[in-house]
Amino acid sequence: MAPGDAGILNSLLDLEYHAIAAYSAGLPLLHPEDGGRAAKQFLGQELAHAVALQDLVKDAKAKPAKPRASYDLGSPRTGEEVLVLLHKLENAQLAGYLAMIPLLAPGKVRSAVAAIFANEAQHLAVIRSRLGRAPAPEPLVTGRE
Amino acid sequence: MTPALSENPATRRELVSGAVAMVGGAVGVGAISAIAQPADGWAASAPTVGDAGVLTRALQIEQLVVIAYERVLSAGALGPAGSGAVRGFYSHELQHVSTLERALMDLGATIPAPPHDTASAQRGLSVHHVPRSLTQLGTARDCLKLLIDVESVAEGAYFDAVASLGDAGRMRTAAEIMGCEAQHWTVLSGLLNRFNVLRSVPYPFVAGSK
Repeated sequence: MAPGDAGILNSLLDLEYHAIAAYSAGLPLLHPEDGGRAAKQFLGQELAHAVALQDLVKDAKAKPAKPRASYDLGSPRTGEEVLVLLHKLENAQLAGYLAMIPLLAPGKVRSAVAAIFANEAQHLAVIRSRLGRAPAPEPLVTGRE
Repeated sequence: MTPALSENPATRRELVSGAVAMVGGAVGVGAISAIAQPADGWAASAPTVGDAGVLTRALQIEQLVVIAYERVLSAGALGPAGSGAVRGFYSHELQHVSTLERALMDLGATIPAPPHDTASAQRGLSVHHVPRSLTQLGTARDCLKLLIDVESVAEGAYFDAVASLGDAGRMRTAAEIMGCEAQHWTVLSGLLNRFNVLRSVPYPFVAGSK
Protein backbone atom coordinates (compact mmCIF):
# COMPACT_ATOMS: atom_id res chain seq x y z
CA MET A 1 0.00 0.00 0.00
CA ALA A 2 1.04 3.60 -0.51
CA PRO A 3 2.00 5.71 2.52
CA GLY A 4 -1.30 7.62 2.49
CA ASP A 5 -3.53 4.57 2.30
CA ALA A 6 -3.65 3.91 6.04
CA GLY A 7 -4.75 7.48 6.71
CA ILE A 8 -7.51 7.19 4.11
CA LEU A 9 -8.70 3.91 5.60
CA ASN A 10 -8.63 5.37 9.10
CA SER A 11 -10.81 8.28 7.96
CA LEU A 12 -13.33 5.77 6.59
CA LEU A 13 -13.08 3.84 9.85
CA ASP A 14 -14.12 6.98 11.71
CA LEU A 15 -17.22 7.25 9.49
CA GLU A 16 -18.04 3.67 10.39
CA TYR A 17 -17.62 4.39 14.11
CA HIS A 18 -19.99 7.33 13.75
CA ALA A 19 -22.60 5.12 12.06
CA ILE A 20 -22.16 2.40 14.70
CA ALA A 21 -22.77 4.99 17.43
CA ALA A 22 -25.91 6.20 15.68
CA TYR A 23 -27.36 2.74 15.05
CA SER A 24 -26.58 1.69 18.63
CA ALA A 25 -28.19 4.80 20.11
CA GLY A 26 -31.15 4.80 17.75
CA LEU A 27 -32.18 1.16 17.98
CA PRO A 28 -34.21 1.52 21.20
CA LEU A 29 -36.37 4.17 19.50
CA LEU A 30 -37.21 2.01 16.50
CA HIS A 31 -40.07 -0.48 16.52
CA PRO A 32 -38.91 -3.82 15.10
CA GLU A 33 -41.55 -3.66 12.36
CA ASP A 34 -40.82 -0.07 11.54
CA GLY A 35 -37.12 0.01 10.88
CA GLY A 36 -35.84 -1.66 14.04
CA ARG A 37 -35.17 -5.03 12.46
CA ALA A 38 -33.36 -3.40 9.57
CA ALA A 39 -31.34 -1.16 11.88
CA LYS A 40 -30.25 -4.17 13.92
CA GLN A 41 -29.14 -5.93 10.74
CA PHE A 42 -27.32 -2.84 9.51
CA LEU A 43 -25.57 -2.30 12.84
CA GLY A 44 -24.09 -5.78 12.52
CA GLN A 45 -22.94 -4.94 9.02
CA GLU A 46 -21.38 -1.63 10.09
CA LEU A 47 -19.44 -3.54 12.75
CA ALA A 48 -18.21 -5.94 10.06
CA HIS A 49 -17.11 -2.97 7.95
CA ALA A 50 -15.16 -1.57 10.89
CA VAL A 51 -13.37 -4.88 11.43
CA ALA A 52 -12.52 -5.14 7.71
CA LEU A 53 -11.14 -1.59 7.65
CA GLN A 54 -9.12 -2.23 10.82
CA ASP A 55 -7.62 -5.28 9.15
CA LEU A 56 -6.75 -3.29 6.04
CA VAL A 57 -5.06 -0.62 8.15
CA LYS A 58 -3.04 -3.33 9.89
CA ASP A 59 -2.09 -4.75 6.49
CA ALA A 60 -0.69 -1.31 5.71
CA LYS A 61 1.54 -1.66 8.80
CA ALA A 62 -0.33 1.09 10.62
CA LYS A 63 -2.48 1.36 13.71
CA PRO A 64 -6.26 1.42 13.28
CA ALA A 65 -7.94 4.56 14.61
CA LYS A 66 -9.99 4.15 17.75
CA PRO A 67 -13.52 5.47 18.14
CA ARG A 68 -13.81 8.99 19.47
CA ALA A 69 -15.18 9.48 22.97
CA SER A 70 -18.45 10.77 21.53
CA TYR A 71 -20.12 11.52 18.23
CA ASP A 72 -22.62 14.26 17.41
CA LEU A 73 -25.89 12.42 16.92
CA GLY A 74 -28.25 15.31 17.54
CA SER A 75 -31.24 14.58 19.77
CA PRO A 76 -33.61 12.26 17.92
CA ARG A 77 -36.71 11.54 20.00
CA THR A 78 -38.81 9.47 17.64
CA GLY A 79 -38.27 6.55 15.32
CA GLU A 80 -38.67 8.81 12.32
CA GLU A 81 -36.06 11.22 13.65
CA VAL A 82 -33.69 8.29 14.09
CA LEU A 83 -34.29 7.26 10.48
CA VAL A 84 -33.60 10.82 9.33
CA LEU A 85 -30.31 10.76 11.26
CA LEU A 86 -29.36 7.37 9.78
CA HIS A 87 -30.26 8.62 6.30
CA LYS A 88 -27.92 11.58 6.79
CA LEU A 89 -25.08 9.42 8.11
CA GLU A 90 -25.42 6.79 5.38
CA ASN A 91 -25.19 9.57 2.81
CA ALA A 92 -22.10 10.95 4.54
CA GLN A 93 -20.55 7.52 4.43
CA LEU A 94 -21.34 7.12 0.73
CA ALA A 95 -19.82 10.50 -0.09
CA GLY A 96 -16.76 9.68 2.00
CA TYR A 97 -16.19 6.31 0.38
CA LEU A 98 -16.64 7.75 -3.10
CA ALA A 99 -14.13 10.49 -2.43
CA MET A 100 -11.56 8.06 -1.06
CA ILE A 101 -11.85 5.06 -3.40
CA PRO A 102 -9.86 6.67 -6.24
CA LEU A 103 -7.15 7.76 -3.79
CA LEU A 104 -6.36 4.23 -2.64
CA ALA A 105 -3.40 2.76 -4.51
CA PRO A 106 -3.95 -1.03 -4.56
CA GLY A 107 -6.79 -2.15 -6.79
CA LYS A 108 -7.73 -4.92 -4.40
CA VAL A 109 -8.16 -2.45 -1.56
CA ARG A 110 -10.26 -0.17 -3.78
CA SER A 111 -12.62 -3.01 -4.61
CA ALA A 112 -12.77 -4.10 -0.96
CA VAL A 113 -13.82 -0.59 -0.02
CA ALA A 114 -16.27 -0.44 -2.93
CA ALA A 115 -17.88 -3.62 -1.59
CA ILE A 116 -18.57 -1.76 1.66
CA PHE A 117 -19.79 1.30 -0.26
CA ALA A 118 -22.31 -0.83 -2.16
CA ASN A 119 -23.63 -2.27 1.10
CA GLU A 120 -24.07 1.26 2.46
CA ALA A 121 -26.04 2.06 -0.71
CA GLN A 122 -28.32 -0.87 0.13
CA HIS A 123 -28.79 0.49 3.66
CA LEU A 124 -29.74 3.85 2.19
CA ALA A 125 -32.32 2.25 -0.09
CA VAL A 126 -34.05 0.56 2.84
CA ILE A 127 -33.93 3.68 5.01
CA ARG A 128 -35.34 5.79 2.17
CA SER A 129 -38.14 3.28 1.81
CA ARG A 130 -38.89 3.45 5.55
CA LEU A 131 -39.09 7.22 5.23
CA GLY A 132 -41.68 6.87 2.46
CA ARG A 133 -39.30 7.79 -0.34
CA ALA A 134 -38.30 5.92 -3.50
CA PRO A 135 -35.62 3.45 -2.45
CA ALA A 136 -33.43 3.74 -5.53
CA PRO A 137 -34.28 6.94 -7.36
CA GLU A 138 -31.06 7.70 -9.24
CA PRO A 139 -28.83 5.82 -11.70
CA LEU A 140 -25.72 6.89 -9.82
CA VAL A 141 -25.32 6.67 -6.04
CA THR A 142 -23.39 9.78 -5.04
CA GLY A 143 -24.17 10.35 -1.36
CA ARG A 144 -25.29 13.89 -2.21
CA GLU A 145 -28.94 13.66 -1.16
CA MET B 1 -24.43 -18.05 -1.00
CA THR B 2 -28.03 -16.89 -1.14
CA PRO B 3 -29.97 -19.92 -2.28
CA ALA B 4 -33.21 -18.44 -1.07
CA LEU B 5 -32.62 -15.45 -3.28
CA SER B 6 -31.07 -16.76 -6.42
CA GLU B 7 -30.70 -20.54 -6.19
CA ASN B 8 -27.39 -19.95 -7.84
CA PRO B 9 -25.01 -20.22 -4.91
CA ALA B 10 -21.93 -21.06 -6.94
CA THR B 11 -21.87 -17.70 -8.67
CA ARG B 12 -22.58 -15.32 -5.83
CA ARG B 13 -19.77 -13.37 -4.25
CA GLU B 14 -21.70 -11.50 -1.58
CA LEU B 15 -19.14 -12.37 1.03
CA VAL B 16 -19.31 -12.74 4.75
CA SER B 17 -15.76 -13.59 5.55
CA GLY B 18 -14.23 -10.15 5.40
CA ALA B 19 -13.07 -7.69 2.82
CA VAL B 20 -9.53 -8.96 2.66
CA ALA B 21 -10.58 -12.53 1.97
CA MET B 22 -13.08 -11.18 -0.50
CA VAL B 23 -10.42 -9.69 -2.69
CA GLY B 24 -8.06 -12.58 -2.41
CA GLY B 25 -8.50 -13.55 -6.05
CA ALA B 26 -6.81 -11.76 -8.90
CA VAL B 27 -8.91 -9.00 -10.37
CA GLY B 28 -6.32 -7.28 -12.52
CA VAL B 29 -6.24 -6.66 -16.22
CA GLY B 30 -5.00 -10.17 -16.86
CA ALA B 31 -8.07 -11.61 -15.21
CA ILE B 32 -10.31 -9.31 -17.22
CA SER B 33 -8.74 -10.33 -20.49
CA ALA B 34 -9.08 -14.01 -19.63
CA ILE B 35 -12.84 -13.89 -19.28
CA ALA B 36 -14.50 -16.14 -21.80
CA GLN B 37 -16.63 -14.59 -24.51
CA PRO B 38 -19.73 -16.15 -26.04
CA ALA B 39 -18.93 -18.76 -28.63
CA ASP B 40 -20.81 -16.99 -31.40
CA GLY B 41 -18.25 -14.23 -31.51
CA TRP B 42 -20.39 -11.59 -29.82
CA ALA B 43 -17.95 -8.93 -28.70
CA ALA B 44 -15.01 -11.05 -29.77
CA SER B 45 -13.23 -7.98 -31.12
CA ALA B 46 -13.53 -6.02 -27.86
CA PRO B 47 -10.33 -4.59 -26.38
CA THR B 48 -9.11 -6.65 -23.45
CA VAL B 49 -6.61 -4.38 -21.75
CA GLY B 50 -6.59 -0.99 -20.10
CA ASP B 51 -9.58 1.11 -19.16
CA ALA B 52 -11.21 0.48 -22.54
CA GLY B 53 -11.15 -3.25 -21.91
CA VAL B 54 -12.61 -2.89 -18.44
CA LEU B 55 -15.37 -0.56 -19.64
CA THR B 56 -16.12 -2.76 -22.64
CA ARG B 57 -16.67 -5.73 -20.37
CA ALA B 58 -18.95 -3.67 -18.12
CA LEU B 59 -20.90 -2.43 -21.15
CA GLN B 60 -21.34 -5.95 -22.50
CA ILE B 61 -22.83 -6.96 -19.15
CA GLU B 62 -25.06 -3.87 -19.06
CA GLN B 63 -26.32 -4.82 -22.53
CA LEU B 64 -27.36 -8.20 -21.13
CA VAL B 65 -28.97 -6.53 -18.14
CA VAL B 66 -30.99 -4.25 -20.42
CA ILE B 67 -32.21 -7.23 -22.44
CA ALA B 68 -33.25 -9.01 -19.23
CA TYR B 69 -35.23 -5.97 -18.10
CA GLU B 70 -36.89 -5.64 -21.51
CA ARG B 71 -37.88 -9.31 -21.43
CA VAL B 72 -39.30 -9.00 -17.94
CA LEU B 73 -41.28 -5.87 -18.77
CA SER B 74 -42.73 -7.41 -21.91
CA ALA B 75 -43.62 -10.63 -20.03
CA GLY B 76 -46.15 -8.68 -17.95
CA ALA B 77 -45.94 -11.07 -15.00
CA LEU B 78 -45.12 -8.51 -12.33
CA GLY B 79 -47.77 -6.75 -10.26
CA PRO B 80 -48.16 -2.97 -10.24
CA ALA B 81 -45.54 -2.34 -7.54
CA GLY B 82 -43.01 -4.62 -9.16
CA SER B 83 -43.61 -3.21 -12.61
CA GLY B 84 -43.16 0.35 -11.40
CA ALA B 85 -39.86 -0.42 -9.72
CA VAL B 86 -38.58 -2.44 -12.66
CA ARG B 87 -39.48 0.30 -15.15
CA GLY B 88 -37.45 2.77 -13.08
CA PHE B 89 -34.50 0.42 -12.86
CA TYR B 90 -34.64 -0.24 -16.61
CA SER B 91 -34.30 3.50 -17.13
CA HIS B 92 -31.24 3.48 -14.85
CA GLU B 93 -29.68 0.64 -16.83
CA LEU B 94 -30.15 2.55 -20.08
CA GLN B 95 -28.36 5.49 -18.47
CA HIS B 96 -25.52 3.22 -17.39
CA VAL B 97 -25.19 2.03 -20.98
CA SER B 98 -25.04 5.64 -22.20
CA THR B 99 -22.44 6.53 -19.59
CA LEU B 100 -20.21 3.62 -20.56
CA GLU B 101 -20.61 4.29 -24.28
CA ARG B 102 -19.59 7.91 -23.77
CA ALA B 103 -16.55 6.85 -21.76
CA LEU B 104 -15.52 4.39 -24.49
CA MET B 105 -15.96 7.03 -27.18
CA ASP B 106 -13.78 9.40 -25.15
CA LEU B 107 -11.11 6.71 -25.20
CA GLY B 108 -11.47 6.23 -28.95
CA ALA B 109 -12.57 2.64 -28.40
CA THR B 110 -15.13 0.71 -30.41
CA ILE B 111 -18.53 0.31 -28.80
CA PRO B 112 -19.46 -3.38 -28.79
CA ALA B 113 -22.70 -4.33 -30.49
CA PRO B 114 -25.29 -5.84 -28.17
CA PRO B 115 -26.29 -9.50 -28.59
CA HIS B 116 -28.10 -9.76 -31.93
CA ASP B 117 -30.87 -12.10 -30.78
CA THR B 118 -32.32 -13.83 -27.74
CA ALA B 119 -30.24 -16.97 -28.22
CA SER B 120 -27.07 -14.92 -28.27
CA ALA B 121 -28.13 -13.06 -25.13
CA GLN B 122 -28.97 -16.35 -23.45
CA ARG B 123 -25.48 -17.62 -24.24
CA GLY B 124 -24.10 -14.39 -22.81
CA LEU B 125 -25.93 -15.07 -19.56
CA SER B 126 -24.56 -18.62 -19.50
CA VAL B 127 -21.02 -17.27 -19.71
CA HIS B 128 -21.77 -15.48 -16.45
CA HIS B 129 -23.34 -18.57 -14.89
CA VAL B 130 -26.88 -17.20 -14.98
CA PRO B 131 -29.13 -20.22 -15.58
CA ARG B 132 -32.40 -18.28 -15.90
CA SER B 133 -34.37 -18.24 -19.12
CA LEU B 134 -35.00 -15.02 -21.02
CA THR B 135 -38.15 -16.49 -22.52
CA GLN B 136 -39.80 -18.53 -19.75
CA LEU B 137 -40.97 -15.66 -17.56
CA GLY B 138 -44.46 -16.75 -16.64
CA THR B 139 -44.43 -15.69 -13.00
CA ALA B 140 -43.26 -12.72 -10.97
CA ARG B 141 -40.85 -15.09 -9.25
CA ASP B 142 -39.25 -16.07 -12.59
CA CYS B 143 -38.87 -12.41 -13.47
CA LEU B 144 -37.42 -11.30 -10.15
CA LYS B 145 -34.97 -14.19 -9.98
CA LEU B 146 -33.66 -13.38 -13.46
CA LEU B 147 -33.20 -9.71 -12.60
CA ILE B 148 -31.56 -10.48 -9.25
CA ASP B 149 -29.08 -12.75 -11.00
CA VAL B 150 -28.19 -10.24 -13.72
CA GLU B 151 -27.85 -7.49 -11.12
CA SER B 152 -25.38 -9.73 -9.28
CA VAL B 153 -23.34 -10.07 -12.47
CA ALA B 154 -23.39 -6.30 -12.92
CA GLU B 155 -22.24 -5.78 -9.33
CA GLY B 156 -19.37 -8.18 -10.00
CA ALA B 157 -18.36 -6.32 -13.15
CA TYR B 158 -18.11 -3.01 -11.30
CA PHE B 159 -16.37 -4.61 -8.33
CA ASP B 160 -13.67 -5.74 -10.76
CA ALA B 161 -13.75 -2.43 -12.62
CA VAL B 162 -13.03 -0.39 -9.50
CA ALA B 163 -9.92 -2.51 -8.95
CA SER B 164 -8.74 -2.46 -12.55
CA LEU B 165 -9.49 1.01 -13.91
CA GLY B 166 -6.59 3.45 -14.06
CA ASP B 167 -8.47 6.73 -14.24
CA ALA B 168 -9.79 8.20 -10.98
CA GLY B 169 -12.95 9.64 -12.51
CA ARG B 170 -13.83 6.34 -14.12
CA MET B 171 -13.18 4.52 -10.82
CA ARG B 172 -15.62 6.83 -9.11
CA THR B 173 -18.28 6.43 -11.78
CA ALA B 174 -17.90 2.65 -11.65
CA ALA B 175 -18.45 2.75 -7.89
CA GLU B 176 -21.49 5.04 -8.28
CA ILE B 177 -23.06 2.61 -10.75
CA MET B 178 -22.14 -0.34 -8.51
CA GLY B 179 -24.02 1.34 -5.67
CA CYS B 180 -27.07 1.71 -7.90
CA GLU B 181 -26.96 -1.94 -8.96
CA ALA B 182 -26.71 -2.93 -5.29
CA GLN B 183 -29.81 -0.87 -4.54
CA HIS B 184 -31.66 -2.54 -7.41
CA TRP B 185 -30.62 -5.92 -6.02
CA THR B 186 -31.99 -5.00 -2.61
CA VAL B 187 -35.35 -3.77 -3.91
CA LEU B 188 -35.77 -6.78 -6.22
CA SER B 189 -34.87 -9.15 -3.40
CA GLY B 190 -37.30 -7.30 -1.18
CA LEU B 191 -40.07 -7.81 -3.73
CA LEU B 192 -39.23 -11.50 -3.89
CA ASN B 193 -39.01 -11.96 -0.13
CA ARG B 194 -41.77 -9.75 1.25
CA PHE B 195 -39.28 -7.04 2.15
CA ASN B 196 -37.52 -9.23 4.68
CA VAL B 197 -34.35 -7.23 5.27
CA LEU B 198 -32.42 -10.35 6.23
CA ARG B 199 -32.91 -11.43 2.62
CA SER B 200 -32.72 -8.08 0.87
CA VAL B 201 -29.53 -6.86 2.57
CA PRO B 202 -27.99 -10.14 3.64
CA TYR B 203 -24.25 -9.42 3.59
CA PRO B 204 -21.95 -6.59 4.71
CA PHE B 205 -19.84 -6.82 1.55
CA VAL B 206 -21.30 -6.62 -1.94
CA ALA B 207 -19.08 -8.06 -4.63
CA GLY B 208 -21.65 -9.57 -6.97
CA SER B 209 -20.96 -12.63 -9.07
CA LYS B 210 -18.80 -13.46 -12.07
